Amino acid sequence: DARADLQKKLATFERFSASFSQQVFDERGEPMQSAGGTMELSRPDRFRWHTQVPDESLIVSNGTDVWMYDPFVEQVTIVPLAEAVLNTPFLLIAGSDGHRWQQYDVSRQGDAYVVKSRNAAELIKEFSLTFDRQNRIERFVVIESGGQRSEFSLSEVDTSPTFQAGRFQFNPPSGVMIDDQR
Amino acid sequence: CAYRAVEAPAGSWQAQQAALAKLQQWELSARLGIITPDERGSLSLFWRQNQDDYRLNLTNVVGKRVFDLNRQRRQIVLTDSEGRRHSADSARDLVFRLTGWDLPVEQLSNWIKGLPGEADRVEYDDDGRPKILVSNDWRLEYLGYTRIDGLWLPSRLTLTHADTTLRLAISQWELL
Repeated sequence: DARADLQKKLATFERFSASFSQQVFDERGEPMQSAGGTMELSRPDRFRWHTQVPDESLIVSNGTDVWMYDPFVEQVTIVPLAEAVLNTPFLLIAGSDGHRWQQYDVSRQGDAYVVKSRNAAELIKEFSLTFDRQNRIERFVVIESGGQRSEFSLSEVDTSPTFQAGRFQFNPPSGVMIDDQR
Repeated sequence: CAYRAVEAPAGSWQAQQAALAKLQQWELSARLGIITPDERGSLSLFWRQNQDDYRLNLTNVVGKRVFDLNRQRRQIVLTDSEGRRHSADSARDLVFRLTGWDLPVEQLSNWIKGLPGEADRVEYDDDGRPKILVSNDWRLEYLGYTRIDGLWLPSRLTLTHADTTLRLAISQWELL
């Protein structure tokens, strides 16, 4: 079925890096915010989400805790992974065992896998994942209640990057406020 | 005798002020930093203004909606991060009730263009543009301007009010 297919496709890589460009659309499809940067992942749950334009911000997870560095207000917030307000697609892609998938239904629409949460309370109504011919993720789209949509287009995708040691650690620059919520 | 509308000399503050007042349709994308004694964070702001109507959309760092404030045909509706819709007569009260942030939306729609209100006390920079603006207990400091279609528009400003500081870095202006 589509879910098993999707999980199999995701299982073909344990590590992942890509550049992303993100565009938010309102419910009528009008463009609003846009951003761009890089994302790196090493399962399970170690990742770096580095937004570079128009403003910098960095999210680093070592698999247990997540550092959210916001240079615009000179602060880093540290939270346990379970509380990190990320977006569901990335958490599902970042996970290694299938347990997170239990609460989602997956269907195919054209070349996209559409993932819907069974838990009505989940904020994200639906997201879709599209792969290129080399089985690399090329796009994911997050649709929120009310129809607001965030589209991530990926490029320079590498499914076997080498990460130096400490890549998924974050040492706050001096002078940065630390808000440790663990 | 007939008064001929004397066009203020180009590049003067009067000409800029007149142009800003006429500018009623625009869009901007910005980073909004919010610093209060017990909260510090920044969000991505999209603002579309059309006469008195507007849409202010705030998302977090990964593009997830924090809130969406819409005024259309005098109806003010805020959609929160859970998708629930709230409406009220005053946008400022609505935002404050739901987020604790004091956001004087109507005044801000002029301040953010670099257009002071009649009663605001203003200090100008060497190029005749607002540098410091004081309005009741709000204090604005314009830290940078950018030139779009012959008009100076703010690119960086800070707003302080009681113990709250808002920082705005405007990355894109679009004049419609």
